[in-house]
Formats: sequence, structure tokens, C-alpha cells
Amino acid sequence: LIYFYFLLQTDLQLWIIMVRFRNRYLVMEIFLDPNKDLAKDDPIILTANNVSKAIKDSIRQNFGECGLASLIGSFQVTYVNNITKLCIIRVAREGLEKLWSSTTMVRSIGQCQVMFNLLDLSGSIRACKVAALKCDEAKSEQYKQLMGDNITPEITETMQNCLEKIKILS
Amino acid sequence: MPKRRRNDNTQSSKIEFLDLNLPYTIGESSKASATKKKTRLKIVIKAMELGYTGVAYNHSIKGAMSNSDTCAISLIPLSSIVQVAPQTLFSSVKFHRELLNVPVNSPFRQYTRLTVAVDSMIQVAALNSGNPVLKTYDLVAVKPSNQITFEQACKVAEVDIIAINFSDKLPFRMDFHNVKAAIKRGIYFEITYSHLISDINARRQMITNSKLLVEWTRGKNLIFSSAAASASELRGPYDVANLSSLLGLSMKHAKAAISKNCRSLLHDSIQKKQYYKNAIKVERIISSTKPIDSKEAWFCDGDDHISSREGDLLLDDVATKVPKISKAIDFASIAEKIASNGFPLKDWLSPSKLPKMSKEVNLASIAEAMV
Repeated sequence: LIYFYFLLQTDLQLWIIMVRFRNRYLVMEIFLDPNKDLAKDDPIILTANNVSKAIKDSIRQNFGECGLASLIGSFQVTYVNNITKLCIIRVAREGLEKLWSSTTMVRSIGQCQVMFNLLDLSGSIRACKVAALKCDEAKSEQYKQLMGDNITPEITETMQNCLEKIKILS
Repeated sequence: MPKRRRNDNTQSSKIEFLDLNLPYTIGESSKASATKKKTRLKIVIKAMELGYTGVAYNHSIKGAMSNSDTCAISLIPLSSIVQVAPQTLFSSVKFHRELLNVPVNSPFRQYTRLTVAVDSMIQVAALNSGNPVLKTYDLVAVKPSNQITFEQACKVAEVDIIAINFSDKLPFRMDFHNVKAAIKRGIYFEITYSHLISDINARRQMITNSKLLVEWTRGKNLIFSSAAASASELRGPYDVANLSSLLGLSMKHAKAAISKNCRSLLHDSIQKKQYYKNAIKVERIISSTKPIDSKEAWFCDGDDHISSREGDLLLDDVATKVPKISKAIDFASIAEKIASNGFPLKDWLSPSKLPKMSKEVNLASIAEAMV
């Protein structure tokens, strides 16, 4: 009985946290160098750091210091997959429009021209995980189709790691 | 009455995203025109990949029209797309369309558009329904550059779209009466979003100017399009709808501005061209082997003039012709069937009422040649 009560308490606390902080999760794909002809090797490596830096620069340019300050508390690039060019971004519900417009207006990461495209928008991490897994798998199929026989076992291993990472996201 | 209601249902269930402004320019030398063709091809491929179901090539001219301005825009055939496109195009387009809830089999349409930049009353007067040059294009847009021409364009000129360059200081004052008169006549206002993305200084002007227009129209008769000079200035449909929220549009109106409004604009403009006073259409009756059901032939389904056109790219055709590295669904047998009958696959999927004079014969013959 005590155990049951304890579980109920923790569930209640989790529910309170969930209700107080409402987030939006965006699953976006990144197109590198849309102008160039398709090159098999990537101009840059996407990491959570450079993606988030590019988005923050865009927010600062478009919405100023205060805009950046109000978004940065809840803004996080949760997951980046360099092979399939997928990323998951978390932001508070109030800042969604600003953040989304800023990412749409991002033109380059570092020296490389990029283009962001929204694939899915959800309000809970669970729905986001489901959508992201679906998108990631579809994109990795396309990647395999593109590369043909050139896939090294390292790449497949990295893909598997990334898919695992999505599954344990919270 | 019941028939019209059924028509409305089918129209609303098809989601379509259209980008009605892709600049088309003619290069001076052959080398310049080859690069321009390549750029245009890349933009179209990108648009297809992002989930758009139709584009319009925009030819801009200044001032007076002449006979040399008749439509010379070549629609991009399937073969050139297959040459340049990466092998994953088919699966990528399918993936994006499924995410956007666009039916995967809907063909990719290409339209032609003319934008006339007018300076004086005389030039505006040329934009009437009797002008033969205008009839060769699917859409006609006017770009007013001073107050008089703006008023005339709103009240008198027979155009489909009024395009205003918002990225510079407006050379005229937009006022509510003119905007209202234009909306009453069925003219659409266009806002292009490529300046928001590409030019930092132009962003400020653009938002200031277009906010006025958005407030007055409240999303009605408003369309968004990119005037994308290169593939990096294109954005996906929902991204564009979100950008318009910067201008004060609600999300519902914004989504309509890239889909429903574009579709009704095309519907209206093509109807204007084909019908005399919106009621009578003259069609040649070719004696075909199938007897035409007399009742059906007289009552035209209003949807038909957008449904099958030259230059439609069917997704299944893209899949057959692209050389496959890994194994995929075997479309080859279906393609053979198409070639023998001369009808596109979508005719088999959706029952069509009128006997269609198959304009997609060139697609079918390409399928035959490849398979």
C-alpha cells in the first residue's frame, strides 16, 4: 500500500511538471547546399552545437537580444543525426512561432548553405519520438539507396546508435 | 444542388500546395540560357521534393507588350528531370507528400504566368480580355508602379494577380477602397517571401509594407509565393505558412493562402479563358470510338480544366525511369499497360466522366521507349 502511494506521489509530481512546462518538439530535416549538384561527401558535419549556434544567431538577428533571451531558456537541440540530416528541437510553447520563423530564415551553418524543412511538430516527447523514428528510418533508406554499395559498417553502426538515442530520449 | 455539394467535398479533401512564382528569364547567349535552364530545373526538383504539387513559371515584362511576348515558356519534360535528379527523388517526394497529407498520386503541374510592370494608363488599358498575348499564358499578373496604375489595376484591368514589390519603399499609397474593389472583382494579391529569407535589409521593409495588406485582406484573396532565384530560397509549405504569421496572419488563413487560394485562383483564371462570359464553352467534338453520353457532355464538371494538362508529371513515371540501385516495386509491367492504351495511370484510379483526349501521350510514348 505504501509502495502504491509512493508511485502515486511521483506520478502526481510528474504530471504537475508536465502541465506547468508545455513544450513543442519540432522534427526538422536539413538540406545542405541546395544549389550544388548532388555530391556524395558532405561539406560539413552537423552537430548539436553548430545547428544550435546557427539558430541562435538567426534569433538574435531577427528578434534581438530580448527575443533570444526569452527563447534560450527552453530551447534545446535535442538530437542531431549527421547521416540522415535530421534534428529534433525542443522549445516552449510560447516561443514556437518565433523559433520556427528563425529557423526557416537560417541561410547557412558555418560556410555551408543550408535549408531547414519542418517534418513534424508535436506537443509531447512521446509523439515526437514516434515521428522521429519514422522519419529517420525513411531517410536512412533513402541514404542507402543513394550510396548503393559504398556503405561501410561504421555508418550502419552510427545509424543504429542514433536510432537507439531517439528511443531513450525523454 | 446535391451534385454541387459532392463536388465541394472532393475539392476540399485534396490538399495541394502551389508555388505560383518561379522567375523565368531568357538568357542572351546560348551558354547563359543553358545555365538558366539548369537552375530552373534544380528549383523545380527542389519544389517537387518539398511537397509542392504545382508551380508557375513567371515571365516578367516591362511596359508595352508586343507579339514577341507570346508564351514561349517551355514546360520541363520528364526526361530532363530524370537526367538531373538524384536516384532518391521518387522516395523522397513520396516521403514528404505522406507527411504533408498530400495524395501521393497527384500529378505535379506546371503553369505559365506573365507579369507586366505598368507605368501609365495606356499600358494598363492593354490589359483587357481582348488581348491575344495574354491569352497564351495561364495566369496574368500586373505590377503597378504608381498610384494611378494601382487604382486602374484594382478597378478596371482584367488580370488575375496584383503583384507588388514590397521590399522597397512603396511608390504608391495602398488604401482600403482599392483593395476592397479588387477583392470584389476576384483579383488576388501576391506576397513573395524570398526577400524575407535572402536579404536582411529588405526584411524590414517587406514586413512593414505587407502587414498593411494583410490587415485589410485578412487572408482573403491572398497568395504567398517565392520569387526564388535559386533553389536555396525555396521553403516548405508549412514553413511559409509560419513565416506569414510574422505578418499577422492566423495559421488557418496562412495555410489557405498557399493551398486553397492558389487553387481557386487557377480555377478562376482558367475558367475565364475557356468560357465565354463564364457560361459557354466551345469544344471540338472529335468522333471517337466511344459514344459520348449526351447528358454528361453538356454538363461540364467544373473540376476538369485543371485536372489533366500537358506537362503533368506523374510520380509513377518518375519511378519507372530512374535507374534503380536497390530493388523496388516493379512498375515496368504497369508502364507497359499504360503505353498500349495511351491513358495515364491516374485515369484508372479516379473515374472520369468526360472522355479525355489524352494529352499525356508524350509521357506514355517515353514510357514505351524506355521500357
